[in-house]
Amino acid sequence: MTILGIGTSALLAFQRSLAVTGNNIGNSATEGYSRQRVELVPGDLNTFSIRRIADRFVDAQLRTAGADLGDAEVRSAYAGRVDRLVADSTTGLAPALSRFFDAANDLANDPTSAANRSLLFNESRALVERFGDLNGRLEEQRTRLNGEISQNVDEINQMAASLADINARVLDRSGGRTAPNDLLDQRDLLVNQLSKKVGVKTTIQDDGSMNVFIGSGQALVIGGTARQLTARPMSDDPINLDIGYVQSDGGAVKINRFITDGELGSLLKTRETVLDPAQNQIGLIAVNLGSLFNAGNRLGLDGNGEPGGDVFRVPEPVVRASSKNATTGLPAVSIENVKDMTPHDYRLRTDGAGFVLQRLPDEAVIPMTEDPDNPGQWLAAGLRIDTNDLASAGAGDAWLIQPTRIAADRIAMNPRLIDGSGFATAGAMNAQEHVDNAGKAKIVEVRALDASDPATLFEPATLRFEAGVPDARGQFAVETALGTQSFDLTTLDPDNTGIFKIQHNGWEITLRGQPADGDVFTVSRNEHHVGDNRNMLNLAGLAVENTIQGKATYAESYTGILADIGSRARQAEIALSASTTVFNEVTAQRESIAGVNLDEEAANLLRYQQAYQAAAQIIATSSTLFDSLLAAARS
Amino acid sequence: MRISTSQIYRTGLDSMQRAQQQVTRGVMEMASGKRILSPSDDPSGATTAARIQTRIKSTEQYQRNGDLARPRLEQTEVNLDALNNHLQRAKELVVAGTNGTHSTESRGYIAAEIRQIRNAMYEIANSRDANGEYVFAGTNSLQAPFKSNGVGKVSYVGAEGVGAVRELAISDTWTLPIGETGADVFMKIPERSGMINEASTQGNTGTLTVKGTGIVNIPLAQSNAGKTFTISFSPALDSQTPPQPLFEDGKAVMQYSVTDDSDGTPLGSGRYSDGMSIEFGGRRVILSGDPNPGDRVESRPARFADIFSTLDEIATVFEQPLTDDDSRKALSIGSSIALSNLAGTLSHFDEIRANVGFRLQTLDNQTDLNQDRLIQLKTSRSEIEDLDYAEAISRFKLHETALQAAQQTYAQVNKLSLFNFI
Repeated sequence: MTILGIGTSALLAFQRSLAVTGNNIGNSATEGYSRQRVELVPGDLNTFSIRRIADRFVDAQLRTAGADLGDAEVRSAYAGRVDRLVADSTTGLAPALSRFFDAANDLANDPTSAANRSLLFNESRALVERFGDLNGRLEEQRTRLNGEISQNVDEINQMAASLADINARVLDRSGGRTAPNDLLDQRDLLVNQLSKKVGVKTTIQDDGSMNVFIGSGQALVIGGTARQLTARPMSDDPINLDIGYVQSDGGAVKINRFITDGELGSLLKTRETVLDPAQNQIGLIAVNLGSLFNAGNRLGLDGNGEPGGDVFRVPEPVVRASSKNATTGLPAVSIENVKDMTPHDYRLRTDGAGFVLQRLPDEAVIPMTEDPDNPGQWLAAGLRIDTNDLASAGAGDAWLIQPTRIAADRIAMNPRLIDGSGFATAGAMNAQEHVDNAGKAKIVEVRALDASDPATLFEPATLRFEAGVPDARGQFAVETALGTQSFDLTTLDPDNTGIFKIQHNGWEITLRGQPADGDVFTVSRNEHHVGDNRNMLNLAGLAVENTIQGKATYAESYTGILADIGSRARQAEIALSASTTVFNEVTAQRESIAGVNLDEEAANLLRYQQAYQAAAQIIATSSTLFDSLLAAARS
Repeated sequence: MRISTSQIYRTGLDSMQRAQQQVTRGVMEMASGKRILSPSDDPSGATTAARIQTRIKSTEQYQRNGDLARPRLEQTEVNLDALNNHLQRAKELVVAGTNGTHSTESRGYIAAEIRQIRNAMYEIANSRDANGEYVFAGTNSLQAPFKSNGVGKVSYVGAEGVGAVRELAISDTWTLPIGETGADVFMKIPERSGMINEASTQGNTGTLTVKGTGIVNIPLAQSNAGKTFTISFSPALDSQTPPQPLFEDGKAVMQYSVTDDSDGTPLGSGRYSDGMSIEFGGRRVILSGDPNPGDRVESRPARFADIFSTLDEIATVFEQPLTDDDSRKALSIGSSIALSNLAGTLSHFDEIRANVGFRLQTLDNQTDLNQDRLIQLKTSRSEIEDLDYAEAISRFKLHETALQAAQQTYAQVNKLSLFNFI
């Protein structure tokens, strides 16, 4: 090769190197850019290639780290917001609950005070409002979360389409002399962003195209084609959005359970583990408190001496039919025993042979017992499920039962209760021992158990002790205008503890001590209700009773929600800080390999500039040599 | 390791942001004085603090209940003191009045003063508290508990029976009755003299009721004091053989017989007629209604003598002029009945006062206990969620320094570039 040829080739090669360095400098702040190098073949200045410096394994790590980070960011953001919401002293339930029971206690202290009655009335309204407001704020988070799901799915679809497009362009240029480095950078950047949204796995085909899979191997991009995802309600719950594959007929197949990574997976998990339990739990407190306060209030006498009514209007469980059901019938679900109710949703299914109740979200089967008195009515989890309208149900029909999901929103004051006089402060019953009683028996307590039939309840009763019948321990004959019934002491007090209860016509009297033959006790309607606080003491006592699932008081149950969400938020924060560290570390690794260092490029710039000048000098020298030769020939 | 330029920027920014977060956190902690700003900062601590908070609230409620109970119990106590003074005076008057040297007129003055005392006690029995509720009415607290009929007979119309006295909770397990019913204080005073009798028809199937009881023969009654007699009823028979039940106007005629329960001695018998007065052992029982065969009336010493009747009766005795032996005897017996029953009333009041005093003492003890518990609970809560300012301030200073260092480093490093030298 001639010296001129060498000089020209070198000049071109360094010009190219200078251009690549310049490109590196120009892109030093471009996200996803991988630095490039001109690679010369030793001894052959005419053959050089531009290599994109990247490490496929580090890139894969970066995508995993990105998916984890996306997951942790969403979790910590939602858990943190819900955490602050429920714990806050103005938006939380705890202060309203405690003020409500304080007011009930104050009314118990002074049942004659109209001010105390109206205070409790107002605190009841404030409590109902607090339930609704808290539920509303959680519902805001749910709306926002569903919105983010929908937005994420849109973005994923766009990215998948872009990836398919890049794949197609890579395929077009696969025969070219230089690799399509700019396209590969774009593709890697897109995959990284996609991975943060949903967590992906990729494979590079021999033709250079990249296949992208989500979840446990569901294809999203294959070569130049992308599958579309959709966000729409596909379970029986019309509010929550599910993720599905769009089918060719426009329908969709639900793939929620495969989406476990990235922001999208985290949104689904957060909805199931933070929002649903919180809303259900708060709803459970509302239903439980409302039902028990109502039941208690009905057992006493109100400010006018009348039997108390309902204070709250408690919502019934919500039932939704699956859209695929053969029957249009709905099971009638009502509250059977509020203390057995749980903060779970349930699914009732027919399996052809009968009805099966599953707890959600774990789908555990909950045993149901059929009410022997009402065939077709099943009892489970504190609920009564009437299946008599489901005769035409086909196998596989399903119904979603949400006992408490929106209860905090729906609970309201009983519209008939217009002021505080409706609170039943006084006990309904009064009991007295006859002045001539010779025995040692004393009345401990008398109270109403069932006030649904006031005429029977208030029927004055005389309890007369008869010694020696039917056995040595004797019996009580309870006489009312409705008839006489005998209660023998052996049955009432089998262990001879000296304390026994007699239940009759909806009331219960507790006696202590041995009565003598002919002793008389009377039970009748309480005519001295004005200053009586027995019933309100019981109602105020609900605050310290283990009413929620028989295990926790209202305050404890709410504290439980705080603890659960608090520890979830704490875990999410720890996960966020850990995955941030990992992400930063992997990013540093990638940057260390593919990132541009300006000092390095400046040095290269100097080096290539000097080399370029030297090559130019070769051409100049060759020119001088040629001139020298010409001059020699001329002379 | 090779470092890229953007990595240098990012590292610098990251460390500044971390330091800024720490500084902000410090500011928030110090502004609120709390170590736990949201439950996620320390879930178990926050839960414990919330539980303690619930305990604090309920204990404070018990204290409030106690504050309400105390004045009521104190008022009951004050009333009982006043009643006690009145009774002491009444007792002195009865002792003075018994003295036979008094003229009818001066005994009349004594009787008048006794009636004054009775009226004062009636006023107390119907007194109200600051809340406008009747102190001795039990739960029927907006109605005067004592009513006086035309002839001065006082009856109790307040609440009686279970739950007649309002109770307040002063701890999770203690409820305290915050008063006494008028029936317990003024009416159910044990009869001490044994000379006042009552009759009971309990267990009967007929319509027999007791219209009145009294004493017809003082010495005889005195010798039979404390005894129980039974009047039993059976169908009256005619003189045929065998005897047949007697009927009059289509109704079976009943006969009564009286026996002494202590030894079974028969004390007389006769044909019963509606509204008749049966006399035996110096006593009299007036009956009305129709007995069924087998019905019984028990004449026995009265169990209770209410304070109003005791005072009324002795006043009535003092108002009678002393004309003969019988009237002198009546005075002496009336005085002795009154003195025994006044003494009984005094000890009855003492008992009730002790009761109320015990409740006040319990209340004070529980209040002290609650107060101690409140301090304990608040200390525990503070230990869990309150900020240690000394520690927080030094931490804040550290983070502040870290932030300054990060900022300065960032500025310095970014000045370094080879391009500056080309």
